[in-house]
Amino acid sequence: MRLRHRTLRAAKRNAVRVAKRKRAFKPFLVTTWDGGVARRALCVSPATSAPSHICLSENLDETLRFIKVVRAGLEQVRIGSSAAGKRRDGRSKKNRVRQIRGYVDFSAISQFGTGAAVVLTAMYDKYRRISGITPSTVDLHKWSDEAFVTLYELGFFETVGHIAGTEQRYTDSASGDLRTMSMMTGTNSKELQRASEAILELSKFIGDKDPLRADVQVALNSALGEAMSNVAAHAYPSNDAGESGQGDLKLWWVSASADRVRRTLRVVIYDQGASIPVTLPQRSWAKAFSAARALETITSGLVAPHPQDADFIEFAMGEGNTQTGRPGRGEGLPQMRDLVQICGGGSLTILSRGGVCCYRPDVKLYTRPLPVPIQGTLIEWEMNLPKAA
Amino acid sequence: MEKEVLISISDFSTYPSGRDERDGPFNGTKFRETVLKPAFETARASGAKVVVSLADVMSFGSSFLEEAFGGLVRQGAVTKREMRDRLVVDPGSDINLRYRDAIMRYIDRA
Repeated sequence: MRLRHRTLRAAKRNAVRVAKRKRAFKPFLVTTWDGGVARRALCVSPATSAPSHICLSENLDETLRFIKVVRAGLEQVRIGSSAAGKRRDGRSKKNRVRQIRGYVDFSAISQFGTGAAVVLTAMYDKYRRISGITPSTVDLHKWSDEAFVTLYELGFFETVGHIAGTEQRYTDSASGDLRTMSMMTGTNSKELQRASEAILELSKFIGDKDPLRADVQVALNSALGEAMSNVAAHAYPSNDAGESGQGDLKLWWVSASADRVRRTLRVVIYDQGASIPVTLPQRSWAKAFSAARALETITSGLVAPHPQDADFIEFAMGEGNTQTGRPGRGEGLPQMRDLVQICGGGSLTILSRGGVCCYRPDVKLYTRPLPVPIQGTLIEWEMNLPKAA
Repeated sequence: MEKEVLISISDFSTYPSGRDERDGPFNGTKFRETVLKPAFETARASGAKVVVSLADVMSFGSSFLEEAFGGLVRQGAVTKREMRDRLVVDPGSDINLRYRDAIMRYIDRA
């Protein structure tokens, strides 16, 4: 009862804050660009500021909240369509400045993690494929170099349909010790060789002639191929197509980044499917569900929409624990974990719907529920690459 | 000299992965049906060993290996005993020893 009163008071305070902000807000001009000619537009709602650290490993909760806001905005545009500045007959009104209802402000970003950049780009990619609309960037010239360079290297601008026009800024801004691989997409392991070769090429940025040992290369390819196959086999169950509106869009998105100071290689694969907890068969749920976890979540005060999901992911990472329940299955996630051991240092992090599970050799498995779910599953390997002898 | 039927997985693909066609074009089912099973049939007829080379292969996804080798036992085409007697897995290099062991494990568990 007391909790209910507290929640109501907080909601009331929040509503007052929002109303004050709305009263204080004054529309302002921005520059929009969708790969063609830059245009002026009047922004009639406040912009959503990205956090300065968008990173799934170092600022997980805030990053997930931000991703949720961006996703909601994209879905709203898709449903409501972007009719601003157009007449009902579809023709643009001449001499009238187009209006936009808010946008995402990328100017304050000082760190942009590879995993978060892949999730955001994949969301925009899905939006464009489904809607056919090329989303505009707003005030691109104000984006921080960190945000611009990461997204440029990832192929964000091509992905959303901005064919040309950003090369010069990239040439002027690119520097530093981090390089990101152009994102790839696919539906199964057909693209494994291409992805493997691109990652090997990226790893040379670290500085050595052959920074990836042969055994690490094979283990990485095996783990990545397994992840790609898992997307084809499990991520988008046939009965999910109608519910999620994904249609034939049953894709994975892969990228990687190399940090030559820390000598680390990060490889990320993401899908926007049903998630591991959802695709585990019912009989596995009972085994994985931890009452202790649920109690821990309640007593810690963390509001988690899917408190048991971290346990499901941990369960799926165990050998022989399968999404099909059939014999000989359930080796894929353990093989993904083995890569970190073969490498000799690093981590494997899996975020799936409402849980995160992080494995490091010789350290207790880290698991926890997420305050905001991630749509689908993200798998990220961080590999520490020893200096060549 | 013992008779041998030689198979190189790299002749099938250097990047094999997945269980079936849905998972990818160079999957375990395809390898089992088009390469491994015919090799066992040939070897059985002449009393030869089946030597599978892992050399030059760049990925060994567990789904691929399990479906190819474990699957052959599971579908009853070859018994575990015959697998143990007739199959020789040549790792090709030390880095592939763990994958040779994985193959033997999948056969045992099938």
